[in-house]
Parts: sequence; structure tokens; C-alpha cells
Amino acid sequence: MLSIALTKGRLEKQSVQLFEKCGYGVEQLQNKGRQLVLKDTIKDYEYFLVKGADCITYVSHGVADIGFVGKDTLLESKQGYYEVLDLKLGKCGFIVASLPDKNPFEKMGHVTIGTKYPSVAKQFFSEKGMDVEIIKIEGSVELSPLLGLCDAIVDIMETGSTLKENGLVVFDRICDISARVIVNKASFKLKRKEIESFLSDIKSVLD
Amino acid sequence: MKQFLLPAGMKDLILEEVQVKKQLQAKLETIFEEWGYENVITPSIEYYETYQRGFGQVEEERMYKFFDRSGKIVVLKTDMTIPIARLAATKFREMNKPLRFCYCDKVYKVNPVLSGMHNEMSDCGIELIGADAAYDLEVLALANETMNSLDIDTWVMELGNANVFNEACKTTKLTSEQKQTLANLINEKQLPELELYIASLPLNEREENFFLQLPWLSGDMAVLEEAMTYAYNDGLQNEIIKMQVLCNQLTQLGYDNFIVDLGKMNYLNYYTGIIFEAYIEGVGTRILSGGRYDTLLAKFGKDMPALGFSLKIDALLSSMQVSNTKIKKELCYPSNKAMEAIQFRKQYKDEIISMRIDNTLEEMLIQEVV
Repeated sequence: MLSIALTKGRLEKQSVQLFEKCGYGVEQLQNKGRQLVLKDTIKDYEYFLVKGADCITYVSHGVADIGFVGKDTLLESKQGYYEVLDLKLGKCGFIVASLPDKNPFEKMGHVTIGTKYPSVAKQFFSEKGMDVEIIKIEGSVELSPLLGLCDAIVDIMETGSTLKENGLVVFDRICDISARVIVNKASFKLKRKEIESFLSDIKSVLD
Repeated sequence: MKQFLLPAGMKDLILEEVQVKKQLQAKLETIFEEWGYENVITPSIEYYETYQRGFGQVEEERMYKFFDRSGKIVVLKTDMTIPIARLAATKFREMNKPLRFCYCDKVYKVNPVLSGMHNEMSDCGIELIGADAAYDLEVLALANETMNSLDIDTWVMELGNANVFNEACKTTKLTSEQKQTLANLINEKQLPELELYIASLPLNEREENFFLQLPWLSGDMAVLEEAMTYAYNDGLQNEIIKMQVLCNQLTQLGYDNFIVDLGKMNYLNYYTGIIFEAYIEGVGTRILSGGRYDTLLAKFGKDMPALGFSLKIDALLSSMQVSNTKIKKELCYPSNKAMEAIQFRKQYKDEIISMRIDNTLEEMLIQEVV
């Protein structure tokens, strides 16, 4: 038996489509009602739906064998799992953005960065040899440079339209992100065959 | 009213939990002692310097640190291997035959808050100091015996060897920083990143293929034959052959509960030969881990090969039960019969009898507690 944690929302829908292509019994996932744990009607799998960060927690503790989760979330919490497959779904990137006349790389003195992703921001700037102050912001990060809370932001960009609407420009691209499959370390040893067959099913339906 | 709570990452054990833990510790210590290991107890705190010397690079933010009177930084010990290496190098300088030490002690590591992980762990294990690779088989046998003694059906021992990666790197032009990054990506099986990283390195096609395959070179012994087809230098082939010999010996001894993982890497440059870990179903992390660390003792002034392993026993407790519990009795007495009751209690050894004052009684009585 494999238990699989899926990140709720858009990635959930895309994951279910993958499972359907694999020929799995996803009826319960498609009509889930109020159930929290959903059984595959063909394979010996069970699925449950959680938030991205929780997906990592469940997999790290071995409560879930496998997790489907965005690389953005993984970058914020790096330990305790194997990352075995890039699903190439939900592709976007981490960027550094600010107002056109406020390039954080050219500013002298103290630089503050607003972000929902402090670890990503911290690592990026320290690799650049810059010592910046990071302010954690939970949502609408674009607002913070506009109101003068910080010099620039580190955020996820898909199309760039939100940035444009707020008059922000991209100064650097940190990395690409997309959805990944993670596996619990102990499960990888103990349920090796089941996990390999699951992964090869998924690989076979990725374009 | 003010509540007094536990600091983050701490846990109380009560009643049966305590018994389970004590029985497990006693069981492990008995096995270790039967194989000739002697118990050592080292202090809970060590100098930060000692860890820095031992590990080279320490995970500073994961240690409980404070100052002693002279202003030197001291830490709560994060493992038992470093204290024992220090002990062996300073207290047994003149000993020439292999030293066998075992321990069951608490170690401390600061985990991220609210992660559900505990910062105080009980670590039980052995260190065999002054023993070269010829002793690998013996220590693996003991690790297998230890796992067998737990009476858990589904466990698996995973075997790797740090030399496989080291030998593979020898004929390449990789810098030590590149090797470390590569090792981490392989060890953590960060496969999408690994692919990107390998493409950026100055490697030829055979080398590229080998490192790309390494995270997947795990499974039964057949993996070693597969690895042979990717091996591109003599040193690498030699290490694989040594692994084959070791695996055959283990199988012949009846310790066939293992898988090979050549993608198992060198944590903090610590291990220099075999690396092994055991996992059980239902526990998400390794239960037993160990390996060979031939360069550690030299850092403390006594150049000797060594190896060892330890079990993090806390994760095991939930899957174990108390064995043969003694019957508990209660001796109830009215307070004016206290002298007689205690006289009576004194006669009993090896029985669990708790005492309770009950003034509704005329005479004392003894009864079983349910």
C-alpha cells in the first residue's frame, strides 16, 4: 500500500489528470465530497489532500510515502525527503523585483527585501555576496515596495502581469520552479518496488 | 494560574513508556556486552571546539550552546562518536589492541520549531576503535543481531561505501567543493537538480553516466553487477568487488536482510568506508546508522581506524510493548497500624507492593492492583 499526499488546488487537479492517464481508479478523487482520505479503486493506493508545506511534513515523518508538491515550497523546507521527479507542471520562477528606479543590486547601504519565501531570498542574496535584511510578508507582496516597507521583493512570477499592473520590474531571475514528486527516505527502501512502478507510470504519461 | 510548560522539542515519558524504554536499553546493552563491548559514560557537555575539530564543519545552529566560567563555548553533546573518539585518544593513549566501547545516553539536537521532531534523543550504540576494514564484517554482524533482537518483522539494512564515490572522483578534475555538492545531491536523491548540476561539470560521458546512475544503484546484490558496467577506473572496480565479497559473506551468515545503496554518501566528510543504515516499516527515519571513520581519531591525536553504529531508540518505543510485567500489589492499612504494616512490607523483596493509608480499615490487607 502506498499513501500519497497531494497539494490541494491547481496541482491537485493536474495530479489527478496524470493518475487518470495512468489508468488509476481516481473516482473518489474526482468526487471527493467531505472525505479526507481517498482510496484508489484499482490500485492499492490511498490519497489525501493537504497544503504544500504540510505535504512535506507528512512525507518527512513517513505518514505519506509520496508527495506531490511545488519546488517553491520545497526550497523553503529542504530536509528529510528524496526529490525524485520533476513533473514540469505549474512552471514559474522566483524573481527579484522592485520599482524601476530602485534596483536593489545598485543600492548602497542597507537593503531590505520583502518576501513570503525568506529562505530562498536569504540564500540567493548570500550567494551574491549581499547581506540583506529580510521581512516576511504573508500575501500581496507587491504592495511592500510601493508603500516603502522594503527596497525590493522576492516572489513567484508566472506571467508577470501582477508585477506590471503594480509598476514593478524584474531585476533578476533566481531559479525556475515546477511541481516535484518527493519520497520518504524509509519508504524508498522498504517499498522500493511499489514506488518504482508508481514513478515509471507517472513518467510514462508526462509529455 | 501560571502553567509550567516544557521547552520546545522536549518530551516527558511516563508509566509504561518508561518501562518499555528501560527494557529496550537493557536488551541492547546486554547484546553489546555479550560481544565484548564495555559501557562508557561521558559528560553531557563538551567543548564546542571538540565538535568543530571532529566534524570539520558543524551544524552550529543545531546545537545547544552556552558558556562555561572561563567564557569558552560548551555544547550539549549531539552524538556519542565524537566524545568517545576524544576519550579513546586521551584516556587510552597507550592501548594497542582494538578498544570496544558501548553506550546508551541522551544526545541533543535543535530541530526546527513546530516540526514534530524532538531535541533530546536516546542514542545506544557501539564504537570499535583501532580496527581496520577486516573488522567490517564483525560489526555488520552485530548490527544485524541487534536489529534481530528487536522482534520487528519488517526491517531492512542498507549498505553503502563512501569509497565508491571517492574512487569515482579520483580520476575526474572535480574540485572539492564540486565533489561535496555532487555528493549531497546524490545522497538526498535530488534528481532534477542533480541532472542540471552534472551537465555543468567538466565530466566525460562515462563519468556523467555513472554519477547520473548512482542514486538509482540501490536494491539487491544484482545492483553491484550493474554498477560494474558503469565503473570506469580500477579503484572503483576494486571497491565494488569488495562490496560483493562482503555481501556474500553476510548472506552466508544468514544476514540476508540487506539492500545495497551505492548512492549513499558521505555525511559531512565523516565516513571513509562502509556506511550502513537500518529502517523499519512505520518509522519515517533511520533507526540504526553507522559506518567507518578512519580519519576521526587522528584529529584527536591518535591515528587509528575505527567504526561503529548507533540506534536512535525513541522512534522504536511506540512499536514495542512491555514484556512480562510483574503483578502489582497494594498494602492498605489504617494509620494506627503503620508500624506493623512497614514491618510486614520489609519482609518482601522482588515484589511490587505499594503502600496506602486507608482509615476505613480495621486491619491491614494486601490486594492486587488492576
